This record gives sequence, structure tokens and C-alpha cells, in this order.
Amino acid sequence: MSETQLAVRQFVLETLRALNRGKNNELAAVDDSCNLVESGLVDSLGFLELVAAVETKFAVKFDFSAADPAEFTTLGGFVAHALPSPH
Amino acid sequence: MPSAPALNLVEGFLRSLHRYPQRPALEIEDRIFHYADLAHEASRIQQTILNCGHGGNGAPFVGLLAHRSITAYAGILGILAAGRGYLPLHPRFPAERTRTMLAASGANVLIVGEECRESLPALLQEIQPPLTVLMPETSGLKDSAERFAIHRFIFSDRFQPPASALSWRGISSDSWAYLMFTSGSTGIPKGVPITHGNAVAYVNSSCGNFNAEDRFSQFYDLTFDASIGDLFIAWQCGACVVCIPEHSVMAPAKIIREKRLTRWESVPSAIAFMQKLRLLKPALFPDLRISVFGAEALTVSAVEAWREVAPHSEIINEYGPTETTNAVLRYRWDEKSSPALCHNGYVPLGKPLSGQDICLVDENLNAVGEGELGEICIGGSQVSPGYWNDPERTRKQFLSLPGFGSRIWYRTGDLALRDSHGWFHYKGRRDEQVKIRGYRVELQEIEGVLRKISGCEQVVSMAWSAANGSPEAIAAFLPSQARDKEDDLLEGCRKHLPEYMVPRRFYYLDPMPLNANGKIDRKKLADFLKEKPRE
Repeated sequence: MSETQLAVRQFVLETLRALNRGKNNELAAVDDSCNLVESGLVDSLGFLELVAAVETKFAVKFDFSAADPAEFTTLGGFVAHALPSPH
Repeated sequence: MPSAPALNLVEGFLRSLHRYPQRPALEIEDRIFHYADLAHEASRIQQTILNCGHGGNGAPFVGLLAHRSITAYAGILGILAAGRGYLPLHPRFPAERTRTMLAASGANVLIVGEECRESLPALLQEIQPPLTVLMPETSGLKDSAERFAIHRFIFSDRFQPPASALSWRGISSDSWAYLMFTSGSTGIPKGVPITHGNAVAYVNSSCGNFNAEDRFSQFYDLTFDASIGDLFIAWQCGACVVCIPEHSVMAPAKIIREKRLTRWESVPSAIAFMQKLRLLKPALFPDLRISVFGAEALTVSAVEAWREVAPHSEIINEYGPTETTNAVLRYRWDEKSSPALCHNGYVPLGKPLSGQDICLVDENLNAVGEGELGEICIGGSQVSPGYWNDPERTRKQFLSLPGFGSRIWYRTGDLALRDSHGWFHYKGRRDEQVKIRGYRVELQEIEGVLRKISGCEQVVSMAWSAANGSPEAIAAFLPSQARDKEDDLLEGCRKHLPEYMVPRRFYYLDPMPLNANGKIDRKKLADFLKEKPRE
């Protein structure tokens, strides 16, 4: 995992914490295999917001075109798809 | 060749079972259930309902807490075949809301999918009337006997064997098929019961274009009435229902392509989500031949984007509230004639389905003429008999119109006009109901919760759109004294409201803008939201 991806991972966890204020979800239990959508940590809109926020903050670009949603909606899969923007 | 009209929802499935027992009826990820397999599972559930002590003289509805699983789909068929209506419940809805629905329905039997076992304890702990809980895929629950002593559990090993053949009995066109709840302005969700007669009227008028080779998407949650189209049109035509897994609902491009779906149905915002994730490419879905969009306004730009990715697909816009069984208006996009018919970039709602009528009325309920704005009233065989156990609200919304005798019409609150070609065009609401990603939301319901938690009288909730498209979420406005309570507000909202109704943004204003009548000026707040950069 690159330094950027480590930072993205940390940012995603912080964002999830903020998004889930007032919920009883146990964020400490979130590991790379946790599916962010199926666990209810984000809904479809929240996932899009996460993509936009990470792309803006880290100058990365997500490319999910060939990816399996079962994989890229996990914490580990999401971070792995955060690749440096070509521009 | 179009099939003969089905008598009820079960009979439509049974016809396909007899014709195609070994054809796929359902796919859930890599599991394929042929018609015979699905009938076997449904029959186990049917027989267990009939023999659990509540079968003969039970409540009209059976609760179904199951999500995109074999229990969800076989549960629906099993409940219907047992002569009962199904009450779909969502594992993500707050337990309190689900308990309200269960209590309002009078259900005394609850079917629970294995995938929902974790949400079961929170749901059961405060339910007083004893339930019989049927768990067709579960062999036991830890401490269930002690923790939930008032309830009776029937686990998989105690299920009745299936009957030699799935059959139905005692279902008439007036028998209940399902009960679905929509947001209610008083804070209590409204129960909309739909009969088999209502449901088959819709399904029968929708089957003409499909056959046993078709592969239908199952996109909608079962708590969303559009799901009946996914399921029962497919099963009446001998087609296969392909379940879209939870993780793919917002990004279904891969599954549409790889599962070679031929019919797609979703809210139009599904197109926008896939666009935002950059998942759409020209001719990505060559197998799609029918795409149906509903529950939200369909824009010309969304149609154009979809035509590019699904070049062989007909595109259909459908309109209709839950109270009139999914859809009563249908419009088929025509490349040549449609662009000139659209108003302000929106696709027409269409013309009424067979057996349904639309009357546009003014505020005195008098019919308006061509080209005039009026409220949509719907009459016909798809109109529900009225809200469940709510005669007062039923009288308000299901009424007769001057000049139409005693015929009952459902008053939608939606505004429309009819053009010179007879097409209806959507023109907004006459009240404060909004749609969030296709779900109906009464803003007063959210405001009631915010008012209670904050202790503030001046609270406003509004639909909020990130990019001037369809509303995607809720924003809330409160006086600044509530600023310190934001965590409590969120927690309280999540306890009472489904996630799509929980505000995404809170704004604290002092003073709140008021209009000339001294009421909060919603227009100014809407302008504020438009100008507010996305945070």
C-alpha cells in the first residue's frame, strides 16, 4: 500500500466516523474486508460523496470500470482503487 | 404471444411452474433456483404458515423481514399461496419504525431471513403481542427461548415438508396481496393495502413484451412497490429474476452486462450514480431490450445517456403512486417523435394503462381542460381500497369527483397537464411531499422528529440536490440554539426514520427568513441551498 493509499485509508475511516455520528456502528471493527455499503456505514449517496472527497483531497482518480462492486465497496478494495490522477 | 390474464399473483407463477419447471426463476449471485426449486421453498413456507396455529384464522398479513435472499422471494410466494398478504420489512429501517408497521398490520406471524438475524433481537425485545417467528434457513438463535419467551420460534428443522405441488386456495381478486407503508405527514407511516385484483391488473397489462428467455433485474427493495413489477411480470412470463446484490445496487453496470439482463428497471438516479462513478461506456449493455424507469422524473439527458449504453433497448417511463399499484401511466420513448413532446427537458409520464383513468382537477375537484394544470386523480382497477385502518385519511384521499357518479378516485397531490396529443406531463406537487432517490418523503414527518428532539418550533427540512438534478438527500434548518444538539438530532432521526429521510446537512440560522405572512420562507431557504457550495 502506497503512502497515499495509507493516508486515504485514514481519511476514509475519519469520514466514516463523521458520517456515522449518532449511530451504534462499531467502527473499531472495520477492517479492509468490511463492505462499506452492506454494513450500512455508507449508502449509495455516501459512497459517491466519499469518492468525490478522496479525489479532491488526494488528487487521485478512481477507476471502477473493470472492478467488481463486491470488491471496490470494501474498505481495502476502495483504497486499492485510489490511484494517482494522470493529470 | 401474450399470455392470458392471470387470476392472482400466485396463479401467474404457477402457470410458468407447470410450463418451465426446470427453467431458472431466480438468481441470487451464483445460486440459480429453477421454478421447481423456488416452488419447493415457497411450499415449505406456505405449509408452515398454514400449520403454525395462525394459518386458518390468522391476521390478513404476514411480516417478511428478509433482504435479497431466497427467504425473501420464496417468502413472498409462500405467504401469498397461504392466502395471506405480505408485509415487507427492511432490516435497515429503525426497529421502532418496523415495530410500528408490524403492529399496524396486525401480523402475528413473522418470517425472517438468515441475513436479518442480527436485526431481530432489537426488533423483538419491545414487541408485546406474541409473534410466531418462522426462520426457514436458520437452525437456532442463541438464548432465544429465554430472551424472547413470549414469542414462538419455528426454525428450519421444524418446518413443514412442502406439499406435493404448490397450489393456492381461497384467493379472490379482493384478497390482500401486500401491505406497504409510505411516509406519513403526521409522523406515522401510512399503510397501503393492495389486493390481488389491483396487482394483477398492473401485471397483466405489463406482460405483453416478455417471454421465458428474458432476464429481469431485481433492483428495488421489497419495501418499494415497484418491486412487484420485477418479480411478478417475470414469473408470469416464465422469465428469470436476477437479484442485484446490495453492494451492486448503486453500481450495477457489471451485473447488467455479465448476467446478460434483458430487462432493467430502476429509478433514473441509478443512471446518474453510474455516470458519476464513470461506469457507463457506449454499447456496454448489448443484451438489454427493455429498460423501465420510474418513481422519479426522467430527464431527456438521462434517456440519451442510457440509449448510448443500451443501444438495443426500448426506454419506458412509468408513473404511479403506491396507492394505485406501482404504475398507471406509461410512456415509450421514440427517437423521432419524443424530443419534441418533452417539456423542460423531462420525458412525458405517458398515457393510462388498460383499465386505468386519469382526471386532472382544480382545487374544487372539477376537471380541467387540455393544457391546463391540474391535480392527478386516478381511477380504475389498480386503485387500493384505501389506507389500512385509517378511514379518515382514506376519505380525504380516495373520493368521488363531480360528474363521475360514485366512482372512487385516488387524489395524488401530483400536478400535471395533458397536451393536445393526450400525453400527461408532470409539473410538481401541491404539497410538501418530495422524492428522495425514488422514495416518497413527507417533510412534515422529518420536521416532527426534529422539533421533538431539538425543542425548537422553527424547523424546516427540504429536499437537497448536489448538482441541480433529482433530489438526493434532506437538508435541515434549525435556530442556532439547536447547534449543540446535532449529535442528538442525528441519533434521534436514525432511531425514528429510514436512512434516506435522515438529514445530510444541518444549517443553523438566526433569524429564520420569514415571508409576508410570518411563515418560514421556504423559497429563500431553497435559494440558500442552491447557492451553498457542496461541503
